Amino acid sequence: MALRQRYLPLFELRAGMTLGRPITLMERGVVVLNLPAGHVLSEVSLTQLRVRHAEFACVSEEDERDETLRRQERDLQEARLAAIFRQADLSHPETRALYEAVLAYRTC
Amino acid sequence: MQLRLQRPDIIASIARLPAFPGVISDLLADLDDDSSSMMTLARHVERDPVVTGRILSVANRMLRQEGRTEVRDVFTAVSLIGFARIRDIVLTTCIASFTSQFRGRNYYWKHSLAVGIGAQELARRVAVNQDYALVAGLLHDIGQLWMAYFHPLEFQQARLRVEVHGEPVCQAEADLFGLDHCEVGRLVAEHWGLPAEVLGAIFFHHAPDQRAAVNKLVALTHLAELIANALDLPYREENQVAYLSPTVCEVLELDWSEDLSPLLGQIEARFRYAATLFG
Repeated sequence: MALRQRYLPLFELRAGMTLGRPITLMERGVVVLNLPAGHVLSEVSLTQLRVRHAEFACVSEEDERDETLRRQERDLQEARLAAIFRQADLSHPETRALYEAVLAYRTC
Repeated sequence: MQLRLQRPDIIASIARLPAFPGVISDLLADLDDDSSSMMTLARHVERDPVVTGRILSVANRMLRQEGRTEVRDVFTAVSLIGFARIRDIVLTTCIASFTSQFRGRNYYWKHSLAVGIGAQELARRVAVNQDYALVAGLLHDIGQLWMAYFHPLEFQQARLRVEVHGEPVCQAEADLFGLDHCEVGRLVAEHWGLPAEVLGAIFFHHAPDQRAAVNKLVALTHLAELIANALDLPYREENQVAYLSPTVCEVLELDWSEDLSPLLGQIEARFRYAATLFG
């Protein structure tokens, strides 16, 4: 099954979730916490994140959506982005690039 | 009705706005001072008991989430939470507290918070002072708050022209007020003694090509606002993105072949976290 990455605020992180990207927290230029991608969060690592004032983490999880649901969600995201960019000229390279970046993020 | 406001009208009215917390200008003035310390920060904050109370309230909310003991003074909060982080909290809490005195501030505040966080994240990538970026983002639309406070009817008319007729916001405001919110915001922020870079970001965030090359804060604020709108932070039916300046992309050295999902994800997750912390 495919994996997808999600960025979650601290209060939505739970033990058992897998980090999709490493976390490096620093204080006064010194690394105080380093967790690698693939680390499975435990109550201990969650406490470390809280105590070190982490605000969010990227978690990796199995994408349980089937192709139909994935397509529907993509259509919804595209429709919303079309509304947001309704006055934009998408032949303009930079504006188009921003549109594509947001679409890629929303549909990953 | 079309107002024909002049700059002296705006400046004369600022004293009738709710008081702006002086600690913000004090903190920003200290950023270039190497001797700035926890003691200095605590001293600035503790001059104002209302500000102190609000900051301790936010700090304790954060410490409770972390399962730690609550604190009763700013110095201990700084010691536990860290100097850089508590400075963010002080700046954000002061501006949240200031805007809470205005009616209908909910969308305005959340939009400003999203732009502040976005500007701060972009600042990390291009080595611009993150506190300046945060404050520029939090205050970039301060001119609209002034407009809504003193001339709510004309402000609503301007919104209507933007949302229903698709008129550019600065054009609609200039037509109805004589000045747009960027100019009004610059005058207000100048009166409060904010740094020149922040004034530039407020003034040029809708016309970044004029200034982005010499003041990266202008570029950061422009792009952060587009990202906030593109990500619906916060959701509003009328959110829109019309144009991203190529000069801004060049100044910020944006590489569009890079996967920008981590940047967008960090901004969204931090916004959701901050929205629970600062309301």
